[in-house]
Amino acid sequence: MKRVSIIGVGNYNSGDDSIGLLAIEALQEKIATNRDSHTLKKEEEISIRLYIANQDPFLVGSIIAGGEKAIIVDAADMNAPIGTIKSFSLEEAIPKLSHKSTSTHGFDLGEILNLVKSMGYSANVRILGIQIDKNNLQGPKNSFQNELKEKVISKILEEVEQIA
Amino acid sequence: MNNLSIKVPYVTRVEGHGNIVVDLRDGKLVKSVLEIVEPPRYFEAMMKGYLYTDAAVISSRICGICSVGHQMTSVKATEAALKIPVTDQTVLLRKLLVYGATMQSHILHIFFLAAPDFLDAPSIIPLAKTHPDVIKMALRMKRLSNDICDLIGGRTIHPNRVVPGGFTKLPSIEDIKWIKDKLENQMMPDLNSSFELFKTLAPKIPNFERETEYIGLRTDEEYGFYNGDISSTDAGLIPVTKYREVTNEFVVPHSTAKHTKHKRSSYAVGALARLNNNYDKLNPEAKKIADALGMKPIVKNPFLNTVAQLIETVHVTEESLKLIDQILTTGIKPEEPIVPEKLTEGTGVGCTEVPRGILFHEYTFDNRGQMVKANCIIPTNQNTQNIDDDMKELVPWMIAQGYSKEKMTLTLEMLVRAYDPCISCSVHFLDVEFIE
Repeated sequence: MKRVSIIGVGNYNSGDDSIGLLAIEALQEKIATNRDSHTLKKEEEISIRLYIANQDPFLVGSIIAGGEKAIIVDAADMNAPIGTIKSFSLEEAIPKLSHKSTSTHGFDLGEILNLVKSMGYSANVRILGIQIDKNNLQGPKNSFQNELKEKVISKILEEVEQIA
Repeated sequence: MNNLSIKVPYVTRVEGHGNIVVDLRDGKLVKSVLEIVEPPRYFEAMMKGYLYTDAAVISSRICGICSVGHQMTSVKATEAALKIPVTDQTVLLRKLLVYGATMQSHILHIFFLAAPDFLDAPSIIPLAKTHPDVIKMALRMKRLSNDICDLIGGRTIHPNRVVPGGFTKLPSIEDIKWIKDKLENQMMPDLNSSFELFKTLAPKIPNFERETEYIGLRTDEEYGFYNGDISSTDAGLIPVTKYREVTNEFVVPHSTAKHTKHKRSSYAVGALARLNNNYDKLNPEAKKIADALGMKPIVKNPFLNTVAQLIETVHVTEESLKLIDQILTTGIKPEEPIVPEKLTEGTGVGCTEVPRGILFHEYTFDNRGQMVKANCIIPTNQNTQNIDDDMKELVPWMIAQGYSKEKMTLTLEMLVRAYDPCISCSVHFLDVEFIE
């Protein structure tokens, strides 16, 4: 059986920066309530593993370095309308990452992705950026409403089929 | 060499911002310091007025790396102040969490921050190509230690189950069995490979020694991490309630972090200080590795702090397995956190060993359980004067060895990194008075 890990990163306490995490929760709910939703292709099952990585880039790195195919879901500022979803390869995403947030002893998500890229895992990874409201980065309120939720889930599942 | 000027703005591969400044003029060392340039954090002032249940939540935010250490020390200070008892099961699970956090932080430092120095790389990124198996192993160990914190504490960073009086949610027996399996079949073999790797790296470690005082927790029962007395290689045992007699904080112009001193001009805390105070309490595998690496007290080379971290990682893995066997024998009883029957005024000190060294929190609460006063003394605070004193001897030592300026600069950076400083934690002022 093919296996894909879907990893949400972000911060629950920072408004729209929580969108990557909420996407994983929404997907978890969908899978839990629909027994067939994990069967993405009729002829072949794809096992999906969901991870909420919060602000821990090492979890992301360890999953990818374990040889797993992975989709990272994160809030993004892409100068696009709120709710726009774009898919990036590691090569495309790394230069765009700000290297200013999510730092643990100087390690941020960009550096960990650079590390796994150097290890030759680029083909195993896709990154889904969701355009957020960059004026909403405080507190629990976020833009992850039903319409966007469905759009994000659908895009993630589409990516799963492509990467598996 | 009579004149030398070295300035390393923002030493890399450490948490936070610090500069190395060395100025040698006409053969005289005019300046040789680690400047701590981050702004103060004011956490002690921030906690004032908050309820005793909030103290650990707020103070654990001092750091993302040592959040378990701050949380644990905080709940211990609160429990001491308000006389809240805890059960044996709580202590056991807390120790397991402390060991998980120690693995988490030590692995980060050994492999991701310090290893590039020993493998002649500017950072870990080039090592991904030259040593991919080491990186994979390090990521695997880091993930397991994160998972331990998650399963026991509820989160990888800033765990939320630890509260004064106990845990809000307990791990399942299945979780504990899973940790045991992973520690036995994954962590121990990976640590053995790490030991083999470190044996080959030994020649890369500068052979520099300096006498200093080493301070860490010590107890008769075990290697001091969770409880015990303050132990000094110069002065013996001191009760944790008398910590101010040890720390003697003072201010220097080049640092926003306070410095400390005890019997000498400075003292060291951290893995090497713990090892120097607890060598006889090491578990068998850890002791075997310590002996094979020549780490018998008193080890006076500060660069060997990273090696001490590896030995401690083996020790806490063995210790965790012992605790897990105890848990699997007794089972996990459902328990609610113990709440004080009546709140009364009180002051208490909490002390634990966190990855970078001994940590003190002291709190005073009023009879409504609100924080009146707080004091936190962080390991990196306690190490900064010792780093300055090391540098004062290291610079002439390097000149005598005929080091180039480039090699001296790298060696000074390696020295600072060896202490695994957490600079953002260290910047705090004590006596802040707000005029209301």
